[in-house]
Amino acid sequence: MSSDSIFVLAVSVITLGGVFFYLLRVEALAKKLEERVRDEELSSPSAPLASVEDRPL
Amino acid sequence: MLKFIASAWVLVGLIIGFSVPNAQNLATTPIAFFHVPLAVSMLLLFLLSAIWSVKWAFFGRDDRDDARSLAFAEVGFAAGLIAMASGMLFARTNWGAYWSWDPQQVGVLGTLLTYAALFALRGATDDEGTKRKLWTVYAVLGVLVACFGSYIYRQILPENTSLHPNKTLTTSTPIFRFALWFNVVGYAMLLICAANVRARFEIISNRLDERVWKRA
Repeated sequence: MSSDSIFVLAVSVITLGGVFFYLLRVEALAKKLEERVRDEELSSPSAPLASVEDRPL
Repeated sequence: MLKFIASAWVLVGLIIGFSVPNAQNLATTPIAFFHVPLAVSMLLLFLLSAIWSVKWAFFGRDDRDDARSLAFAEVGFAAGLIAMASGMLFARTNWGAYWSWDPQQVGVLGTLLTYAALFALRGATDDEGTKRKLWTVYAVLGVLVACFGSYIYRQILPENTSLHPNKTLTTSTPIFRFALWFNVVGYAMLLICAANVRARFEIISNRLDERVWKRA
């Protein structure tokens, strides 16, 4: 493997690492948001979920 | 769990891609193990998007299925853009130009423009129910256009019309084929993970939206 290829491989691996950690971060954020929405739904049952098709225009 | 497997898989795939000797007449072969898997994954994600939207339409009208369909189409679109950009770099090295109006390039460009139009159409509809019903049609139409643009169009043209090598995934040397399929599986898994995360945000967004409307 030439030194050029090793450089490109290293950049690719670093990019993949970045994508992986970003995916983890975003997934954690989604989980946190889901929990907050669930908590809010439980704490205010006066606004139950309904199909969005019932939404007024 | 899938994201860990997918990332490790892609890492191993990268190393395999750089270890495989260059294919005949193809300088910078390693980019093929990124470009081709992304293009195949794009098609797979568009297909999954159509399946989710058909599931929404005919099996329960669960809004989460529609959110998944949209998420898979969006991530597939992003994969298509990256595949096209990496393909242009690959083309510059091998064929001397970023863009040659090659049937494959034109087909994928047509697919991406079609999806851009479908996203715009979806965004232009205010009523959520109508939006979802129309999206089912759009998603099915989109995957048909994608199949035609990225595969059938090139096959119906006379042989050697395209600069792209034909049947790379099935008739290459065993080692090249192995590296290619290994990477296809890895990138497909990684992009499915990304699409699932995007879908979760869409679902949360829909739920928050519903609550706002219920309160109003």
